[in-house]
Amino acid sequence: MKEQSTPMRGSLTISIIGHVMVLGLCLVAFTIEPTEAPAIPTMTVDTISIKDFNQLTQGVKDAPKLKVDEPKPVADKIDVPKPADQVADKVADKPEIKTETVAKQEPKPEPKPDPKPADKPKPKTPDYKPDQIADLLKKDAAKEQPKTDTKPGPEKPAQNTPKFDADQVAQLLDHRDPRRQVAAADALNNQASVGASNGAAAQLSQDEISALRARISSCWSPPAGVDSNSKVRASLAVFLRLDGSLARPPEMVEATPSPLGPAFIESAKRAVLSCQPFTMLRPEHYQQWKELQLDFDPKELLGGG
Amino acid sequence: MTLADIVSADAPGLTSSNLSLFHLFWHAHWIVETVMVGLLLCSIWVWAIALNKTLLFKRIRRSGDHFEQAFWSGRSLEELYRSLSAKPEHSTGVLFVAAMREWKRSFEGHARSFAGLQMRIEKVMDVAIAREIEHMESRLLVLATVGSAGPFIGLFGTVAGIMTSFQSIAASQNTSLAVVAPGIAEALFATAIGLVAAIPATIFYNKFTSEVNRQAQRLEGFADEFTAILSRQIDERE
Repeated sequence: MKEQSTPMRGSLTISIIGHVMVLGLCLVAFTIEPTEAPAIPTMTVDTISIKDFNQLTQGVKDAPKLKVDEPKPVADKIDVPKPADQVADKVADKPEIKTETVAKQEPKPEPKPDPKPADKPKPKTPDYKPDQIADLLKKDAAKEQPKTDTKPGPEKPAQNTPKFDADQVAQLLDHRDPRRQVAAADALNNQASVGASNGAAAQLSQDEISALRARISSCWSPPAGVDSNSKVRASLAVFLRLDGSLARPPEMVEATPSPLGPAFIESAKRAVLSCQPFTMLRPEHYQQWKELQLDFDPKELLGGG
Repeated sequence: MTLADIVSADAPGLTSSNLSLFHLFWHAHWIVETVMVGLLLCSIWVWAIALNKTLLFKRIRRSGDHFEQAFWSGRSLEELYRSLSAKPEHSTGVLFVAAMREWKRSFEGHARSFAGLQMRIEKVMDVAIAREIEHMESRLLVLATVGSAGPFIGLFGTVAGIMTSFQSIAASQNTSLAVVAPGIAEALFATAIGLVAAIPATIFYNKFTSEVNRQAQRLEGFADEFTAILSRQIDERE
């Protein structure tokens, strides 16, 4: 064993040295400089209930009317702004208008001499004068010039005659209301507006509910054998008028099957009938309590009392 | 970068997220630290044993080869015995020396009973083989233990590290990476050290076990051969 202890110590030393070297290498290799990554701002997300959302979007009755700009036609394509009908009219009218405008556009001093020389020569031919003829010839020459000018005139309308335009055809074929509007996202407003008719929170307030429950539990006399520990339950559909009275007798929606059931439901119906009118329900929310489902649970209605 | 540099670099901003291994170790939970240190020591010991055994087996193989060459070279066994008995080497030489010593003792004592001689020689050689194998196998159990238990020890450190990160979540009521990451890094580091210690240990254990088996077969083969020769000698003397 003695001869063995020396190489063991030697190899142990070598092993330790090797480990230290490897660890040093790891220290160099695995040292990561903390990068200056910008802290990402966290987004806080609030969850809102449907009730909250409805109350946010609920309108205010006396809100100023939103100023709506005059409806603009839908721009299917930029630079074809005219409605189809107008284009069609113009094409029909153009030839007549153009001839007039072309005549008007001509320089005024020139056409005026035209008719006069044309008319004048004929009456003036009897008193024949060589000078006059010479003048006439001159004037004729002058007359011919403007005529050559006027010739391009009638050609111009021909140039302006409607060419085939696919866009105009498309507009002619388009039978949609030209005043239809685009409902763009920015058209939505965040101002207080009259709001949606059903935008209110579709719930009754807590004090209304508790008042209703208190009222019913005070009116209700449970049948014999029903106490707060009974497992009997029933729910009635109650139809109410605006003044809180019953529009028609309550109807049973569901009830637990039980020998006590019929008596239980009858007692519940009696309670609802004897309790009316339910004046604690505010008429502003009539839409919400026009049709109510009342749950009769002895544990809730009798447990408190 | 030396260790001292890292220490001095860490010292000013210990709370800042410095991510060196040293920092990782220094801020770990004490359980994880213990596990890491233990596994590091295991790894050091495993490699020391591996080095030692490699050298030992190399020497055994070489001396065995030398001895067999000398044994079958036709030299007189007395001469061989005299040269070897002064400094018995490992492996087959030791077997030969043990057997020859028993043989000589039987003759020098003038004990004429050859009846038990062969059995005695066999016994002596068996003992010598057992001693040699025990010598070769010593500390191999450490390798086996580290190889099998290392990953589990590392896992233990991992569990402790994960617990640390969950505790820091609970303490800061925050699940951001900055809160969780140190504990997880610590945990993974413990696993890594466990594997680093265990994988070489397993490999070396398998290697050395097969080596021990090979040497044992060689010893037994030689013992059988030598016993046959000696028994022939004994039978001739009778």
